Amino acid sequence: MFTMSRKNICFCLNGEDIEATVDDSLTLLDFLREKLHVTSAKKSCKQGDCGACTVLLNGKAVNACLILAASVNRKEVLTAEGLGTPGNLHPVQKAFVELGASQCGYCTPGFIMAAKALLDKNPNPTYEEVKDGLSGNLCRCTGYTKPIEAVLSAAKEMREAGK
Amino acid sequence: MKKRGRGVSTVIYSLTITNLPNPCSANIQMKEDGSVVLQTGACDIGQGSNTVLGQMVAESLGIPFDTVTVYSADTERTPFDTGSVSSRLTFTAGRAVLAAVEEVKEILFATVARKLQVKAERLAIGEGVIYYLYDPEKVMTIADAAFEAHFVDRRLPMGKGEYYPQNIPVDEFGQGEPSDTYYYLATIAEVEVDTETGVVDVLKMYAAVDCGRAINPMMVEGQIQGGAMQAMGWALREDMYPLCTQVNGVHPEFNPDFRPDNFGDYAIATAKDIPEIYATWVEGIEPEGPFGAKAVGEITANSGAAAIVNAIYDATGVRIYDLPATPEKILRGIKEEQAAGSSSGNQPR
Repeated sequence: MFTMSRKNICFCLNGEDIEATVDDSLTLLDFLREKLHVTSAKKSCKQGDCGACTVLLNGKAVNACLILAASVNRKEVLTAEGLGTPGNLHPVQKAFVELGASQCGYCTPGFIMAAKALLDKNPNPTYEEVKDGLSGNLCRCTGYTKPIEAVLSAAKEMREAGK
Repeated sequence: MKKRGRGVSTVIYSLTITNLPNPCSANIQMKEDGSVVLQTGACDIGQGSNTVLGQMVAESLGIPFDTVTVYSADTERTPFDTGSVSSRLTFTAGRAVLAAVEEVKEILFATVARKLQVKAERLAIGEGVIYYLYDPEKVMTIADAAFEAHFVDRRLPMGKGEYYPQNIPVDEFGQGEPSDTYYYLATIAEVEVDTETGVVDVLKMYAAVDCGRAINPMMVEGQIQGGAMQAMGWALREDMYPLCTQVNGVHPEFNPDFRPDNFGDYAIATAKDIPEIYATWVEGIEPEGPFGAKAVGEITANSGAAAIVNAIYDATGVRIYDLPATPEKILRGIKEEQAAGSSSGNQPR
């Protein structure tokens, strides 16, 4: 007979420790949205096509819809909520706002997280490298032009702040 | 071999609906400190109507944009709007907003006229003050005027605005005037076609919209860029029944089993696929429009596919009449072209 098994997990979400017992079939995305009510990662295609649910898992951009919650045990998860606050935006968030890189906004948190992962690894990306870094995220509104410009602008600002 | 070509296309588009009643609404309340709340049924689906309508309120009342709060598209709390359709909101909801602004101004001007001992029709508003046209020394801040109106004149500075586009019935032949006014777009596409594989690479797209006054140029540019990308997507790859065999461009059966059920099969473009997009706009001021504005939304996606297909023709001589212009269709066209060319003795293009 099929029985659902449950696992105890402990992980770090946006700098806070989370302890929970989760079904081992529960995705990280459903766990974040439905159980923890952390909703910046969006549930769109549910099969890894669109990137709207992109979060950082130990610094790497992943689709939260394809990650099981049980597998983030002892790992670090970062969502857009942990990146900046309305009064203190991360440079990537600030650039998206200032350059109008968001229209309906559904893909935006995913783009922000993908951009953060890219810039952590490569603080001085070329235009083509930014395109590569954002290629896992679909957007229907912007034509990608302004998001790419926003990431380049944020990269410049972060480099100058780091000097 | 890779061949390059250029194509152009133009489109005219309607921006209101005249065959059905489709009201727009706005309520504006100025608070006692001069800040403003706008309630409108206009629904911001990402095109930026909240921003644009807020800008119109701020501009026409001479107050900072960040003192305007916009509540929109909540049937419980906002007045009626027909919907975010036909690229109509900047024009129609904008007209409703400006009508509401006039009522607010009338109340404020009455207060200031009493206070300054001048005629209300000789007052003007701007830069946070209401001033007497013939003596700039005679001024009152908008915040003071709002306070006076609330607590001395006991008239709340509130306004109700509505706008009904004209209702023009069609004649016996179904002909009529579908829109109050029209707006225009031209697109140029530059493509490179691989004649061995039939794969099309869109290198550059230039799109220019006559949108009337660009209330928010940054958002106008964003809409044009997004529209160009969507047009490229359905020119080249997006198909609801990609696996059905087509006969003369018609699907013999629309089998739901063949419908793509994910973004991978439907294949919408990613950041890696986009061409260089050059967006520009022409401000053909519309006298009926709020601040001379018309629209920008849907039109941006409407001519790109035709420009790309024309560019494919320019590059290869192959005419594609059913989208998407897949490599299979282009290769078939190139072969037919060559066969026709060799039988008639002409050089293939």
